Amino acid sequence: MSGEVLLLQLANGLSFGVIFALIASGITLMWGIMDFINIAHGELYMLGAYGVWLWLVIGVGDFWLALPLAVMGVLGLGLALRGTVLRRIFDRPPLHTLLATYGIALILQQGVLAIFGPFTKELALPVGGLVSLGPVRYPAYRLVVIGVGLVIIVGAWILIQRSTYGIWIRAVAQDRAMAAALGVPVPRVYTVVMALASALAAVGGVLAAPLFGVSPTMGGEIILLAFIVVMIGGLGNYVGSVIGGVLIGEVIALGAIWLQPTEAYLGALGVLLALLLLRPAGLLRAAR
Amino acid sequence: MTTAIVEARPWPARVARPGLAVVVILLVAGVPWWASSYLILILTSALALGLFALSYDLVLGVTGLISVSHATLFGVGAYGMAIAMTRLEVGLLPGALTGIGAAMAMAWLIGFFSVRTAGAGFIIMTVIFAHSVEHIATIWTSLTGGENGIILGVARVTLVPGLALQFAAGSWSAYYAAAACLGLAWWLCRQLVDSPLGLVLRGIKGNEGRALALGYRVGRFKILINVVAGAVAAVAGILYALCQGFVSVDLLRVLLSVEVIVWTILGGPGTLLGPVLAAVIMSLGIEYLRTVTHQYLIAVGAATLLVVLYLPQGLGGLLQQALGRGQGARRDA
Amino acid sequence: MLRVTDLHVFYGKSHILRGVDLELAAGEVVALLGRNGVGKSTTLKALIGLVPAHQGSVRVRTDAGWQEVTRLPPWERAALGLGYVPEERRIFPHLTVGENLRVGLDRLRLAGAERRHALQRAFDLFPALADHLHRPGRVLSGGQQQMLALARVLVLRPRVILLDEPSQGLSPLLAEAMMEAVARLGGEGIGVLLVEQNALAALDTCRRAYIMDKGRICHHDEAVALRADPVAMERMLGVTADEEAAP
Repeated sequence: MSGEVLLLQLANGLSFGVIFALIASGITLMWGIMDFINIAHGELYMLGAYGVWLWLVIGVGDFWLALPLAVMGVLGLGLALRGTVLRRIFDRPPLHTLLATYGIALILQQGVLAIFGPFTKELALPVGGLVSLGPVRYPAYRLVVIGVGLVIIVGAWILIQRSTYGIWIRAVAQDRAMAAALGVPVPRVYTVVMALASALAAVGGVLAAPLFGVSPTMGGEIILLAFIVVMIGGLGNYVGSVIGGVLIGEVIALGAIWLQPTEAYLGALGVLLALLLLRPAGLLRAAR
Repeated sequence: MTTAIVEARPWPARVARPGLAVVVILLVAGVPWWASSYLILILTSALALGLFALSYDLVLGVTGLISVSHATLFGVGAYGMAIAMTRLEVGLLPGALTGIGAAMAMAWLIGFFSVRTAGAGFIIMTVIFAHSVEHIATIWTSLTGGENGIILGVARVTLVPGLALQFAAGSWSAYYAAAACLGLAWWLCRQLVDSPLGLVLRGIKGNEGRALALGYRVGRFKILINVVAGAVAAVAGILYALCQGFVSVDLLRVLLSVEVIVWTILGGPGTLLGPVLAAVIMSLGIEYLRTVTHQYLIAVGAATLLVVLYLPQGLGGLLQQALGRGQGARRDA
Repeated sequence: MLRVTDLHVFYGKSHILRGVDLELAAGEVVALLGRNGVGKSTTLKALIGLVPAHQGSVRVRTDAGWQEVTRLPPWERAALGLGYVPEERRIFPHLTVGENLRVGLDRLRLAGAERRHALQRAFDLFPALADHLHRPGRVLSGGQQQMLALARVLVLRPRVILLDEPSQGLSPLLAEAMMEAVARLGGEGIGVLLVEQNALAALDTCRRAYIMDKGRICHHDEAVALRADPVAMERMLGVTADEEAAP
C-alpha cells in the first residue's frame, strides 16, 4: 500500500464523511430535540438526488442552479410531511414513530421505483478534471463536495449556536417544558428543525448524485449507517454526528484498500457495533 | 379498583368455546381435500407466518421487548436447516435442529443487547443488527446462495419406521405440520402466559422497575423469553422454507421484521390469538396483492403507516374501546 | 391581573387540585402556603400550563382586557405576561447565562435600546449575573442559578410571576436577598404569586396569603393578621410557636 493510495482514500473518506455528516446531523437533531426517530430521512436524501437529476433533465442547464431548486423541493416535502403525517405521531412511543416512518420510507422508495424505474441514473460531473494534491491527481468534483459540504455544515452550526431559533432549539433539547414556559413556541421550533434537517439531507443527496448515481434504493442503503453515526456521536449532538460521519467515511474508505467495498462496509459496521457495546451512551458525550 | 365477581358461566358459554375449537380444527384439517396445490402452498406459508407472529407476541406483547430483528431468527432458522442439509448433507431433523440452535444463539445475543441498552437505542440497534445479517446473507454467496437462496427440493423425514413424511412445495405434509405446530405452539404459549413465568413476564412489561425492585432478575427473563421465542420463530421459518421449497433472503429482511410488528399491533399485543389471525389474514392479502401488481410494497408501506396512525391499539383495542365506552357508562351510572 | 376560578387538576386518577380560587392584583405579592403535598407547586404548574386543567378557569388581565388562558399552551401564556420560576430552577445547563436570558428575551423582538433596557433591569436586580454572562448554566452555584431563573423571567416583561420556593436550598443570607428582590418586583408593578415553605419569611414579604389544604384554599387573610395568630398558623401550617421564636 503506497502513500499515494492512502492519500487518495483519505480524501475519498472525507467526501463520504461529509455526506454522512449531512444526513446524520439531521437525524440527530430530530432525535435529540423532538424525540423523533425518522427512518424516512434517507429517502429525503434520495429525493434530493432525484430532484437535481430531474431539474437537469428538464433543462435547467447549470448543476449549481439545480441544487437549490432540488433542495427547496425536498424542503417542501419535508414540511408537508411534518404538517400532515408527522404531527400525529410526535408524542408516540419510539416504536410507533419508527414503524410510521418506515412505512413512509417504503412508500417513497417504491413510488420512486414505480415512476423512474430501478436503474441507476448517471449524472455528469458538474466540475470535471483533476487537481494536484501533493503527489496525486484527485478529481476536482470530490474536492468541491468536501468544500461545499463543510461550508453548509459549519453554516448550520453557526445558526444553531448564535441565532434565536438555534438557541431555542438547544433550549427545547435540554428542557422542553421550561422552554415552553418561557415563551418558546415549541411547534414552530419543531418545524424549523424539520426544515433544517430536510435541507441538509437534500444537499447531501444533490452532492452525492454525480458521485454515486441516482437510484431508488440509495436512501435505504445509507440510512442505517447514518443511524450508527448518530449513535456514535451522541444523541442530539450536532458536532458529534459530524465527527462521527467523517470517522465512518474514513473507516469505509481506508477499509476499501484491503477489502472488497461491501466487506469494508461490514467491517465498519462490526467495528462500530463493538464500540457501541463498550460505550452505549455514544463515544462522544452529548455536549450541546 | 373494582374486583370482578366470578360466576359460573351458563352452559351455552361453556360449550361454545370447545365447540368452536372443534369446528376450527375440522375446517383447517379439511382444506387440502379440496384446495389446489397453489392454495395449499400459500395457506401453509400463512400458517407458518402465523406461528412466527405468535412467537413475536411472546416477546413484544407479553414481555414488552421491542425488537425489530425477529425475522432474523425466522430466517436464520430456515437458513441453518438449509445450509446443514445442502452443505453438510444431513437429514431433515438434524438440519432443523441446527437451524433452531442457530436461531436460539442469535436470540440470546439479541436478548443480551436488550439488557445492556434500553428504549429507542435498543430498537435502533436491533434494526442495525437485522440489517447487517440481511446484508451478510446477500453477499456471502458461497454460504447462502446470495440473492438466489438455497433450493431445498424434496425433504424426507421418517417419523417412525414405515411412516415417512415428504415435504415439498405445496405438499400436504407441510400443511398439516404447520397447522399442528401452530395449534400446539398456541396451546403451549397459552399455558406459558398463564403460568407463574408468564406473570413475571407480564410484570416486566407492565413495570420493569417494580419487577426489579421485587427482586426478579429481569435481564435473565428477557433473555430467556427471547431464546424461547427464537426457537419457535426458527420452527416457523423452517416450516415456511419447507413448504416453499427454497430459502431466500426474503426470510431475513428487515421488512419482515417490521411487518410482524404491524401484525402483532394490529391483532392486539399479548392476546396471542390476535397476532396469529392478523398475520394469516394480512400475509394472504399481501400474497394476493403480489399477483395483482409489482408495486404491492407501496400498499405494505401504506398499511404500516395507517395502522400506526389510526389503530395503535390494534383491532382488539378498537373493539375494547367500543365495548369499554359501554361498560364505563354503566359503571358511572 | 390574575384570576383563578374553581381549578381542578388530576394526575392520572388522583384528584390533586379540587377547586382552587385565587386572585392577584398588579404589584401585589401574595403567598401560597401550606404543608407539603397539598398542591401548591401543582397550582403554579397549572397556571403556566405545564399541567392540564381538568376544569375551571384561569384568566389574565392584558392591555385588551381579561383573557381566558385555560386552554392555551405554555408559550402563549408566557406571551400574555405569565412568568414561571420552578422549584428546581431548571436552568438550561448547556446554555450560557447570556443564552439562558436570550431564550425569553428573543421572543419579544425588541430593538437595540429596549433590549439593553430589559437586560439592564435584570442586572439591576442581580448585579452578579453580569459577571458570568459566558459561563454555562451548569457550573453556577445554587444562589446564582436562582438569580438566573428569576432574571430569565424578568426579561420577558411579565405582568405576573409565579415563584415556586425561591429560597429553597439557599443560605439564610441569600434567601433574605431573594425575598428583598421579590419585594422590589412587587414595587415595580409586577404581581407575584409566591409559593414558599418558609411561611414566616413569606409573610414578611407579602401582603396577603392563601393557605392550601388537600387541594383547595382553606384560608385567606392579610399577612399581618396571620402573623398575629400563632394558633391558626400552627393548625394550618404545622409551624410551632418554637419555630416562630427562632431568629
